[in-house]
Amino acid sequence: MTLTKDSALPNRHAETLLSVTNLKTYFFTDDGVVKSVDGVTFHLGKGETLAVVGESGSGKSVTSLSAMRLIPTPPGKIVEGEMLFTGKDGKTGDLAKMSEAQMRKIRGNDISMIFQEPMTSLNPVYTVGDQIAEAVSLHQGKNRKEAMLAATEMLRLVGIPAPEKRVHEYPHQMSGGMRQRVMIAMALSCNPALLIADEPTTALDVTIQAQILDLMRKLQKEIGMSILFITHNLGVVAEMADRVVVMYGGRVVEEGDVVEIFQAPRHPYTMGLLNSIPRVDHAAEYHAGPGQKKERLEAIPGNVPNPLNLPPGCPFEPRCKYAIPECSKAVPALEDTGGGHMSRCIRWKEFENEARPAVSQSQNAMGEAL
Amino acid sequence: MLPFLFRRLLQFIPTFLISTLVLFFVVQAAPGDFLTQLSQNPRVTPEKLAQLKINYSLDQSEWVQYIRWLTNLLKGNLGISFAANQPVWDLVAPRLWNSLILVIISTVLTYAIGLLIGIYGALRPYSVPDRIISVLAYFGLGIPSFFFGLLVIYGLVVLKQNTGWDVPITGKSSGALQNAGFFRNGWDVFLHALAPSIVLALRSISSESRFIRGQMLEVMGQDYIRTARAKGLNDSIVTYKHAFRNASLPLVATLGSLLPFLIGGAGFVEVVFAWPGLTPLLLDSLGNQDLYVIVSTAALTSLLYIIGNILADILLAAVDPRIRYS
Repeated sequence: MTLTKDSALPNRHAETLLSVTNLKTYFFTDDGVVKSVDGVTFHLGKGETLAVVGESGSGKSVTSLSAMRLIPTPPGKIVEGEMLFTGKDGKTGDLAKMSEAQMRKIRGNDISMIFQEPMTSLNPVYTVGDQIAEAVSLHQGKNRKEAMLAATEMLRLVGIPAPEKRVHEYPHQMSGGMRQRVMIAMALSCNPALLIADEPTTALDVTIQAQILDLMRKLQKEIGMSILFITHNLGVVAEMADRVVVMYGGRVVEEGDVVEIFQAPRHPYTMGLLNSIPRVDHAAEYHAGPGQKKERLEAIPGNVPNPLNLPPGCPFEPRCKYAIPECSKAVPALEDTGGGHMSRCIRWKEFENEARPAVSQSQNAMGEAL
Repeated sequence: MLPFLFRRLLQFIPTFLISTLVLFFVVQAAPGDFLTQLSQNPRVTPEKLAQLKINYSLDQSEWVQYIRWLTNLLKGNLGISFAANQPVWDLVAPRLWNSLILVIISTVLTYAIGLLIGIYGALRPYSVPDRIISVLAYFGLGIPSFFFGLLVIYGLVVLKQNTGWDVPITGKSSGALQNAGFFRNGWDVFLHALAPSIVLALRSISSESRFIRGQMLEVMGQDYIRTARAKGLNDSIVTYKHAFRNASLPLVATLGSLLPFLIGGAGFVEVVFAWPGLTPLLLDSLGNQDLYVIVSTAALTSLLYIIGNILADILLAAVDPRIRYS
């Protein structure tokens, strides 16, 4: 695999499918307001795969659930922002302002979603065929028989053997990987324009992860949808994404083309993430005996800040080895560092000459992380 | 499925033997027996008393009595009532039906109302109506049925005085209507059953609605509910097709205890409303140690319990595809 793929060229995706501007989703809890998503802006082109990366609590899942308007209300609420989305019918609307009825037409039809936990994401008391057919008959007006046939075809498409038989089986009769295939079949059954994949491989074992990612890439080519890929696995990002949005503390801290992000990160958090990937070519140093050159796996010190009590300045400042007094004064702006590569760090210019690991090496590491 | 049923029936045998045996000895453990009262009666001669003792097998040891009762039971004979001097079944059967009337009406009320307000509460948790229902449910659970029965009687009397609406508060039927025809009589019995059934239902509505609310709340937070919403399904399909079916599974599992409840459940409410059900009879029988009425009724109850549980198991397998008996 090479990271210099043509899809990574800037401006290839001229047509925008989803454009999120200043999205703010807050949770109003007894302990205070949790600003899970606090002014997130990004866009997603047609046919493009955008990875949203961040640790647990960075707001990446809440961002995706906001786009589906599936935030549990109360306590959650989209308090501000615009999410312009162009549906399959070519009409553009603001997802943040649509009525529930309009959203129901979009969910499962224009935008579909697959989740992290295939073991619990399917209803245990209905057959997988029923559950896929439900979406088909709802959005395409097919009768039960046609919808079940469509469900069988979808199962075949996602590579489930003997789909005519499997379609009548219940979720508990399938393995985790199979169930995630069923989820993908369900999500793609109405040819959505956008697939939101919220850590779809996190709960699966590595060999199955690779199969599911391959399947998603193959189906993306066939159906031509865009993918919003939520993950914390940088290996998966390198494998899947055209562009990357890195989130921290409810905000976008870096955004850019996947090659740029891996080769020349412009935010200390992204650098920390990349440095914390174990490197196969450094295995000898990790295991070095006494007297030999020893190397330790790098980790980002400290913890994610408490979302109820974010520092006044850059949220990453307490953990950042490049922090200067200026950092804690105000939240830095997201600045364009050139060519659509954005960074929310006041010192981004200084990182241009930072020694970065060579691309080929980090690729090996990513292969391992997969 | 069939081997499973067979196994369950086999398991029933020791359960049945142990429960009736314990009951038999516990009832006998009380000092005296049915004849003790008669022995105080100067008009009953000692010879007559001795004769009765032999007739009722009370001269034998408890073990012999138990074995005799059990062999009779296997032949379909529940024994005789000393007090009524007639077969236990003839005594129990009409009262069983009377109790059934109350329990069936209150069970229908329980599930109809309990499910409705339980689901309502789960869809709007911690809203003002939900909080009000919660408080009322705690009252319903806390207040003893016989006391609530007295309150209802008082309320109905006041109602009659002020508006003239006459909702019957005692007995099973109005004596004047003896030959008024099936429907007229049926309506009369229903009216009489109304007050005790509602009192009986209050408690189970309270607990059932709490239970189903908790179940629904838990299910509504499950990942597959989010999946259903992400498909674009509307709220009522998500609630009733995807959530309720799962939330009702534990409810189905508890249906097994409903069948014995159908017999013994009416309890003191029958006494309060002078309803000629099984409870007043059992209380009398306990008081004068009418042995076979007590143990035979208990035997019927444990039989219904095992049948109820088997039915619940079958039902559960029908609604939950994860459960298979093989």
